[in-house]
Amino acid sequence: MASEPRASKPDDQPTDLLAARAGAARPTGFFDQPGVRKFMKNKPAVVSLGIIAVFFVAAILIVAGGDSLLRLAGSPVAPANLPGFGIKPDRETRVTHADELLGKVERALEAREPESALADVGFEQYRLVDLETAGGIEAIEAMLEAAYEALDDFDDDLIAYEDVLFERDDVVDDAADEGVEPDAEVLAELDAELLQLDAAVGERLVTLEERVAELYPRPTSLAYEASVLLGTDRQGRSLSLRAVYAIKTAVQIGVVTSVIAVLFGGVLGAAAGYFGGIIDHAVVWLYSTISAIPYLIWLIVIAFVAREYQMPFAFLGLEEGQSLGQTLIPVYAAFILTFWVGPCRVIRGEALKIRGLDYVQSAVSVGASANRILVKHVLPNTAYLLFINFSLLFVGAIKAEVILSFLGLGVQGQPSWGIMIRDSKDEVIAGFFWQIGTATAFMFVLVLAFNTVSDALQDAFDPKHVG
Amino acid sequence: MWSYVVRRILYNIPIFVVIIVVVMAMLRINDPTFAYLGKNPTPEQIEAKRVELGVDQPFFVQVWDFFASGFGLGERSWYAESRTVDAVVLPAILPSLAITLPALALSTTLGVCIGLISAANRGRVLDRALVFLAVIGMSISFLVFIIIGQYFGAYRLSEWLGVEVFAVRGFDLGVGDDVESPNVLQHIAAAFGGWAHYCLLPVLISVVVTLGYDTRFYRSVIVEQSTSDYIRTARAKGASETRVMVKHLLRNALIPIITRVMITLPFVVVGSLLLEIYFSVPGMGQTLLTHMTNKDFPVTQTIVALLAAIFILSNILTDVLYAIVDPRVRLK
Amino acid sequence: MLDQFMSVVRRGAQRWNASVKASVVAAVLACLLPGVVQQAAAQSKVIPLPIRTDGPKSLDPVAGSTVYDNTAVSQFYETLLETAYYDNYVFEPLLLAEMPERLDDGLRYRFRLKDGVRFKNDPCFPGGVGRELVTDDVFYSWKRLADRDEGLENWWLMAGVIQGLEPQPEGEAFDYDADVSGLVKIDDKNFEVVLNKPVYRFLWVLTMFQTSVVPREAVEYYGDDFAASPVGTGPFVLDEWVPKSHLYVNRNPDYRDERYPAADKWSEEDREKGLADAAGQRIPFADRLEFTFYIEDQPLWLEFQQGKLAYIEVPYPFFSEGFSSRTKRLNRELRRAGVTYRSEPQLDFIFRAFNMDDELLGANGPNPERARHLRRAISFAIDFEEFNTAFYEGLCVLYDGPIPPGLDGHPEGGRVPGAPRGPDRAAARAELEAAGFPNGEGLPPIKFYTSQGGTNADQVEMMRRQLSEVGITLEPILLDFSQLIELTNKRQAPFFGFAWSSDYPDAENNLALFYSENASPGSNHSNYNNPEFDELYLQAIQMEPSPERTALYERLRNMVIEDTPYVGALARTRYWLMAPWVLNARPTQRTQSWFKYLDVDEDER
Repeated sequence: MASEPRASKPDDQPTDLLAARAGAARPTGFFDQPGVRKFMKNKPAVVSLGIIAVFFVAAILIVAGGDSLLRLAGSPVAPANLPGFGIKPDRETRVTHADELLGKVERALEAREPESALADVGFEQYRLVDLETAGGIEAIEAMLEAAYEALDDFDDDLIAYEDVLFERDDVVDDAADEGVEPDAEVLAELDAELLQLDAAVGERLVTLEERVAELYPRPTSLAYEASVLLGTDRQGRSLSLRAVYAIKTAVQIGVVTSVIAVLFGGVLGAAAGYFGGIIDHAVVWLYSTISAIPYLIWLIVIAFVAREYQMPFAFLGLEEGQSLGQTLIPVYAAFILTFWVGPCRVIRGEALKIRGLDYVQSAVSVGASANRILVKHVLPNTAYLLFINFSLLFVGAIKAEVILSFLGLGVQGQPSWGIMIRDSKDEVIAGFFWQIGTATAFMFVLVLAFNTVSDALQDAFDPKHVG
Repeated sequence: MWSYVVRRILYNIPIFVVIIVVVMAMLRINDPTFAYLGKNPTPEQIEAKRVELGVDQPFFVQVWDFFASGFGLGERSWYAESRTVDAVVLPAILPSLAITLPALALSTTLGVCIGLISAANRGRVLDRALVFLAVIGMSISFLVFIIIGQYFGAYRLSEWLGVEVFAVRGFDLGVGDDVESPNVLQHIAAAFGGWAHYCLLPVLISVVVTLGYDTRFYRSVIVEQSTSDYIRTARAKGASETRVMVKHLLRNALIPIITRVMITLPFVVVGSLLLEIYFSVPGMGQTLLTHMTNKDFPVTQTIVALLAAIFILSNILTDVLYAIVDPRVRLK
Repeated sequence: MLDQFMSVVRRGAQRWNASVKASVVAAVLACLLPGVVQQAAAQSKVIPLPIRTDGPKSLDPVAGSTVYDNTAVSQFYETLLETAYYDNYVFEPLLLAEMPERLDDGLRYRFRLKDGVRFKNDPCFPGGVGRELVTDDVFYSWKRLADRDEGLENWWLMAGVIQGLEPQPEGEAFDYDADVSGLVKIDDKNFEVVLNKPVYRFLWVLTMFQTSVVPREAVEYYGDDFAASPVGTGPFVLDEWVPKSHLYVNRNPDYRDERYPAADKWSEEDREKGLADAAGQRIPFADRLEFTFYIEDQPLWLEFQQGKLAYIEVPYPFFSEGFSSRTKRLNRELRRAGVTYRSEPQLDFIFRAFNMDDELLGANGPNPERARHLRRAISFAIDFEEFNTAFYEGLCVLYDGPIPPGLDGHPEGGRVPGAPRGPDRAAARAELEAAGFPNGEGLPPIKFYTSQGGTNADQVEMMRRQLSEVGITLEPILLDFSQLIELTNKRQAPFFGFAWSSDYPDAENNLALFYSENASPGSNHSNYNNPEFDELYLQAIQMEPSPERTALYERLRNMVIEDTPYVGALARTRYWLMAPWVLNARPTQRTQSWFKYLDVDEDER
């Protein structure tokens, strides 16, 4: 065992509790097991389990929702960079939105077939008023003109306001240059003027928005409200919808990679620990090799290579010549190939121990086959470890996805929290925290729930664990 | 002990070789040639480039060349054409260490301290609060910490105070700027100032991120030790609580602490990739990423070889340290 | 809400700051901030400048390609001709004493080198003293472009232009001493160049940094290290280059007497901005340029705000921080701080190209008529204005045809009647129907390849959505840039994103993208093949700028629009911000040799 002193040392101590549990009579029902009972007593853990269940159900529903949901999450629902909870953006953003909305109408009117072009103007539910309701193209043109007039009025007042503002700046700056206090009287006068002009600009903006609202009646449906609840990104896409859709992405990546990695690592570890000898050496050697490079490097190398790989033949629904970049396969590959090492180590240590236990030895002596012992004794007694590792890897996968997506090696073609966080890095500087906040909050809840559950699992089932 | 060390090294040579071969093979799944062509290449030029890069050679010849050339150190980088691999890789080590070593030291010290406090108050409100905080810290993405940390720590803070406390980016220890000064202390102070200016914020962010994990780990190590027989004996003998904590407990907790620190070492060398990118620190992580995404095989391979070697050596060192700290451990 | 919170904290911080005054805080900060202290001590003219990305890859002119290579190389080396600082659409002599003389209807040019041009002092020269520039240096530098051992990366600039100048056969060393029939030396300062055929572009090529003049001694002396050891005639010499970090250059103390452009050359507008104030003064003004490399945009932006950079190119995500994105007016804080700005439409051609060899979409495929309807359908369905708003802050110019704004042949207002410009879903649907795929029924998904990075992931999502509105399914594939090049070179990508920045301000550079001889792996990645186009193109490239040539350009442009081998196009507008203390700054993307004109107002700083 010279090769692996670290993994084996803490495990060499006999664990009486485990032996006692393993040797005890078979528990009558699942909920009667001491570990399960202990787990169920842990309130935060049960709540967390509920939260995880909600996320999983949401993921399943999203999968059932199919492509239409994906399309919706990728479509603008309202003007860009809208704050959440109905908070009004600053004046500059508001007038920019109005300007953009009007520009769309103007361009549609210039199209070859204005009627059909006008029908296409708008977002999912937030659309240009129906041509018939409005009273024909002429009516739309008239409304547009009125709105543009309001915009011009706004601009005039804004420039007047800014001129006074700059004048005030000059007064302050000049005084500062001369080292004297600015003339209080002049300042007070300017401030009063500013206040007045500011109010005027505000009113102009309200008028402008009313004119725009005539062209684009604000949708009242709950679906629309939900879609702008947490604001919109720079393309006007709904942050709430994207964050919700990303649940599916996260759960998908988490489940696929952790299940495969845990099973793969678990089976290898159990086999290594149980059979020992050459198998053990091979497995230990394999994971020593993998862990000889920081996992982030493996993730990057594997994702980088797999992303560019083109299928040499059709397989698993992938076409020949298809690049893997658009699929989740590079992410899966990177995670599975690096994550299996953890469970493998743990299960191997556990299997080593179980093999040494009396009742297993006696099963061997009465001639039970190796496979039978593995399935009957080793696997059930390591099941809790598999669960703990599953939840640890799940968390690892979600967090690693963010890093890969930031590096441009992660998910493509569907929303994910990592993509949202990556996209938000430029917004933060502009003081727009809605995207990073939304993605972080969603991710936080799920990861916290998993962390709580895996803690509770260890408390309940792992006698060595310190709670 | 030396025979043990030699044996371990021999045992690990195949691991080392396999890692390099695997990475080399993986890189070569996709053709690098097109990354290095001008605007209007002819088929002839493409072939010539392939020959120049040496990727026309059979794979095992390329592997052999890599080892024969001393891990590619003297080779010319493909991406940074003007420099050799060692000129690319070696200068990147210091900036990485300047961030990760202090971060490791700080978060280990803090982690052990908070772990001690937490363990001493086990089950009480303080302990629960600390554990909960740790879990919260663990549940937020590293990237979020970086984005928010840089925004408030480097930008808004400087704006509020009117002086730039932490740099937004860059790396410059400022050593040798003031050559005339014969005062060594002044140089040290300058270097420390430069370090604090550029590296302290990334270090702090890094500590915040890892502290959650460290605290939890050290807490459980200490709790485990404190319930063991010899501590009970020490207490029964009437040793003071501080003495128990520091002399007996910490001493016995050293092995897990060493293990954890040693496991982290290879990460120390590769640096914190994200921090390096975000703060434009020209360290190993950033170098690796830049050169790999630009298909610079020589640099990528050399960095991977370096990392693997460091990991293997740090593993062996861990075992040796065990034996020094704990006389019960025998190296065989 | 957050802003309120911040203002409270800020007020708190100010009060705290004021009460504690300079005592503890200052002591701590002074310890933390040697950088600030050092800055105050500087007395020579040092100009801090940014380079976006991780900087140049090589300081050898023949190995360079990016604008960042250009920025670095142009400080050390000089070209025969130079894009004028006061007007980026014309060139003027730099190493030459006068403009080249055009002989035999452009088949032959006569050059005369400036007197008194010396290479910088360097150990590669006997005695370490730089020698005078001579004709042989020019010939040697051009021959390096044709030297296979130097990579031929920029050979395309000269390929087929000069009589007898060809790369050596493979496996042989280039014979620099062999005579080239097209390079005729008259004496050390005078020479003639004979071209294979008249190509007006040739003179523009001589403004490009890849054709900079290098001394043979340095190349031979430094060998592989030449790429990091520049020995040129330029206004600056290398002090320190730390890749991925910074590039510091010092003034070349032996730089010849060169002067700032005369006042009458500047436009009225530029004169008002004070750009002509330094007219006639000796350059360079700066003692030292400190280029720092910025991979991320945020630090670049922040450091300019903190007054640490002389100028920056405004990164798109930060545009609305500095300007009103609607009115394009500079914001109050910057204006108040004395920051000025300059904007310039780029010679950009950002487009989405079709591969004309593609079975489904290509004109060279089995069903050219159907393919043309499909290409036009896609073109009508794509709304570039939406891209412009979402990703470029509305700063791009949209235009029909391949000729960017500012050049002869660019359509007025960017519009050509009849061009398939989107969004026009009705037209798109009509074209789809004409192609035999009403509402996209029966149409297989169309693969779209583009390079990953930047906002491309979001851009393809938008494109997919726009096309899905008319029933076209897009299958976007994001690749590494090198892989994209590989696929297009092999003609495997049916539809792909591409951008071309003109190497020189002449539409010929863009029209070349559709010349059939340049088909993949050349720059005509659309593999557009139109004999009529080819014929007119060959005619146009021999002409000097003239109304006739412009008319020809327009015909070529309309031909391309008619055949729709691409969807597009966009040209970005760049904005630069200049610090109040920087003088003579007129940032541009067209030339990178203007840093020699920069000056600083130390009092202001």
